Amino acid sequence: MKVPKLIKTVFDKFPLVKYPEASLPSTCLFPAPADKIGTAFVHSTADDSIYPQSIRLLTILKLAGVTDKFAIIPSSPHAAPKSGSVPYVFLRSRPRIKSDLLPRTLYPESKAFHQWLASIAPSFPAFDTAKQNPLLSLVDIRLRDAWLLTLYLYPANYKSILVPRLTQAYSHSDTSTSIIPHILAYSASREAQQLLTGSTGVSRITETIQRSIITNAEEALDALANLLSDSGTPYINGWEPGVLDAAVYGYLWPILGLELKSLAGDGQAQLKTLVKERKALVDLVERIHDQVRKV
Amino acid sequence: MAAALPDQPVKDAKRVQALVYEALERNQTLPVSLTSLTIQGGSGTRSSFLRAQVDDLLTKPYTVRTLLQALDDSAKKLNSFGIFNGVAFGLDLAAPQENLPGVVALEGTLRLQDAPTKRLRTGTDVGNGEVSAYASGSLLNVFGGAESLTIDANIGSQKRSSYIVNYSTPIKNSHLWRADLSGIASSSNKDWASHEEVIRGLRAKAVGPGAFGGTQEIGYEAFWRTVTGVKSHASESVRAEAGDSFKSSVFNTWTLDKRNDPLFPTQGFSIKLKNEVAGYLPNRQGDIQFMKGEVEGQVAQSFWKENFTISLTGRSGLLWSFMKDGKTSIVDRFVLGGANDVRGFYLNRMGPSDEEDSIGGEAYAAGGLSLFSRLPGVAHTSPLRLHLFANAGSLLGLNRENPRETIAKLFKEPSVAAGVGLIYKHPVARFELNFTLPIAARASEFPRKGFQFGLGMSFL
Repeated sequence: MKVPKLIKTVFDKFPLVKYPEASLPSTCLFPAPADKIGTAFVHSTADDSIYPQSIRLLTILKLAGVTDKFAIIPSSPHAAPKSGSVPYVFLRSRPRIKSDLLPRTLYPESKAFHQWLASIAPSFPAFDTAKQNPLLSLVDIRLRDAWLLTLYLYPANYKSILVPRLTQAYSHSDTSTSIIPHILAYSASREAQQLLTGSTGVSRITETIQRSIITNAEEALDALANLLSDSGTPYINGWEPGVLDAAVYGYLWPILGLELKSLAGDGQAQLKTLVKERKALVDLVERIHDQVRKV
Repeated sequence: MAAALPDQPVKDAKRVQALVYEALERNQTLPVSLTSLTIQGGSGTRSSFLRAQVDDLLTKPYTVRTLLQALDDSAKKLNSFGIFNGVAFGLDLAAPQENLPGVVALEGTLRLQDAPTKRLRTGTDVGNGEVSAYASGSLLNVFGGAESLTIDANIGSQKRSSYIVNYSTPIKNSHLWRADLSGIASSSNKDWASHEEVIRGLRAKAVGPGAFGGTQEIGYEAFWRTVTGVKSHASESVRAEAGDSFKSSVFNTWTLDKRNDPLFPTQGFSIKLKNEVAGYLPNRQGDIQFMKGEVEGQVAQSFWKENFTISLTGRSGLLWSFMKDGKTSIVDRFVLGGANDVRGFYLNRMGPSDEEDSIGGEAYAAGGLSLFSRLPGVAHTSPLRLHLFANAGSLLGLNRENPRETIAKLFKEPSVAAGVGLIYKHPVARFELNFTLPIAARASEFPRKGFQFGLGMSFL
């Protein structure tokens, strides 16, 4: 409804007494300390995290030497804006790179994230999209599929790793309720199944498909191990670890660290055996772990 | 004479009625007893349930006056279940009772007309700043004891969707106490804090008479709540609160309402106390632990031949976390502001905020003083009133080290707005159109100057 001009002028001039801001709920997160430029929302900050994407983001931030500039919040997938997913960094203000105004929410796989990272950590090896993207897709498709299959679809791992981790992450207090982590685990497993059927183009993850997922992962591991051995450098990126190393580390660290069991639950998961058999990759994981532990 | 014939039955009926009244009047103190009661109709209702409603009629000694009063009370009681369209008692002389000399024996007949047991409604609802479309289906008198099963589906502007299945039954056949068991699933947009809230769970409650002539509700609820659908512009605080939580709580509400009209009272007062304890009972279930208390009161008084009405309303609440870290959830914190409480502010936009998100507070106090008057030149019966108001409120985070300081601050620096407008009293809701002027506000709040439209059942 339009207010008559005269009334609007009078009312606009009417003084408004301003009190200080309302005091915040006592345990609120903000305001984050002034030296922080934003917040990293990740699934978990635990050393034995089961979230490769979050391990990757935290590793990149650590390797780039910018972790101190962020508040890091262990968070639920619900913390992601509708079109995105956890993990991501959320900056205090929109960064400007040359003439481009980047979004405040930056996902680690996005071009904007790499642009922004290069601007705040110039010494961190820049991500070479043309050269490294094909290698990154080996990790993001083949290793991911094998990881999803092993953790989310093998009943023994679902029960002994996924459900307890979700219970731990979900429990906000000294009491806990058993039903919701089970529902969350079930829904995570369904989501993993959908991702697998999407990437393999089938409607059901049969035994044959499972075998092919593991074979594909084996080929990817071979390719990465060969690349590392052939280059003669300590990291896939070269003499310094880069985004690709962090991505490989994101998957291999939990694969090596967790007690992943086979489909029947009677032995070690094949994926874990495959990684352990490739010494170059095991050494890479240890090297990166030594680096990030120092930070 | 011929022209008078059609009026004859009416005149006869009136004459008979007058004679009956006269006879009753003369025999008011005549001792009577009801020796039997025959029930006609009501075939959809269990006889044990009906007996529980009328049995006491047969056991007491009466006079004519007290018996008629008892029958009237019984009819009201039966009507209150909502399962009959008609309830009527008839009386006839019975054979004299040898053991009751001097007492007139009467036989009673209770005629019941069953109401339809299925009800389906669709339409639109208005209330508290929300417009919604709904579909509701009910099965009444499901097991013949005034039980009802209702399914409600609602798609609205604020609550994006809600589905409720409710089973309600009288407790021990009582017309005073009811037990309700509800299954609830809802999803609402919390625009003031850039997220959606999804709730699913169960609520069980008993509703009945409370202390000092009031009503009370005692209940338990178990809800799985999810803060999700975070908007791209959501602040850090809201993002950090995203996720699941499980609340298991007991609650009690006591209401004493002596107002002549809850929508637009011109006389009387009301008091409401609400308490909730989460995470402690039963068996320390749930992962949210808090105690929440709210008090609400209103006094209304008309004067100058009811041309003017003055109304004073106050509300206050405190949320105390029992979590180890003292944390409270955005789902549980109070919100304040909007056309239905502190006018002159955007909906739920008072109190602490992070960027553009109002994240709610743990302590609040709000009050409103309104003066209503008839409009000059408008009919006496018009539902329109002129409205002059001033309201104030504070919503703060609680200083757990020194809660008294927070409480003092609530009253020391309240946000204030005043204004003038029109009220329209519709039988189902109250409409307000006010011109509001914020006078004082906190830096973290979002005051609004200008026209504000309010629609709802309760206002400050």
